[in-house]
Amino acid sequence: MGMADTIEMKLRAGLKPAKLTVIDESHHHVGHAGYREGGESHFSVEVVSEKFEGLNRVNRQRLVFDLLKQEMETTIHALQIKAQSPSEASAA
Amino acid sequence: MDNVVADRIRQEVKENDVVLFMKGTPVFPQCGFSATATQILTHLGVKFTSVDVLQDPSIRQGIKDFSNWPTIPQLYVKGEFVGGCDILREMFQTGELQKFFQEKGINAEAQAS
Repeated sequence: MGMADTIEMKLRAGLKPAKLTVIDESHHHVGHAGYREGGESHFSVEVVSEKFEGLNRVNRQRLVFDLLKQEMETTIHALQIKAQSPSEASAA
Repeated sequence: MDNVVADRIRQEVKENDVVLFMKGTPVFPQCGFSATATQILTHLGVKFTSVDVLQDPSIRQGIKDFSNWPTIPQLYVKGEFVGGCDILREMFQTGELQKFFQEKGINAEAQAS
């Protein structure tokens, strides 16, 4: 299973998201610090979840980081996160 | 985390109003996310102190533990953790960052059109 699948699985389990998109952006970072042969280092996540309701930006991202703690310490070099609550996502 | 490292970080964020922990320097950032954070602060005309975590592995790991935040860059304003690159960018785009600096009594230009 690839890292994008692992991220998706863990976030689905932990956030019960209304919407979730995981994009592997590793190929944008070829030759740059943190890039590894084979990629799987840079990811971008867009997620809409009720769990973000009432949380500030820092705590939303912490929630995502915590679910991916193991991966953040080993494989993932960079994780861009856009975390919205359902009401914000529908207002946008 | 090593107490000495924690003390050094605490000292840094206490003595300086705006501190950016980053990879590289504002002139030569070593990472795209650190470059973005630098650009936002520079664009707003905010004076900041930068700490290059690549110069010291203990700070590089230490700041992650200190903030309970696994990535770099990290911005501190008046001792308060504000966030990383995504948060700065979002706050900048909505105009919140400018307001935040003003509330903290730190000079920042009005939002550029």
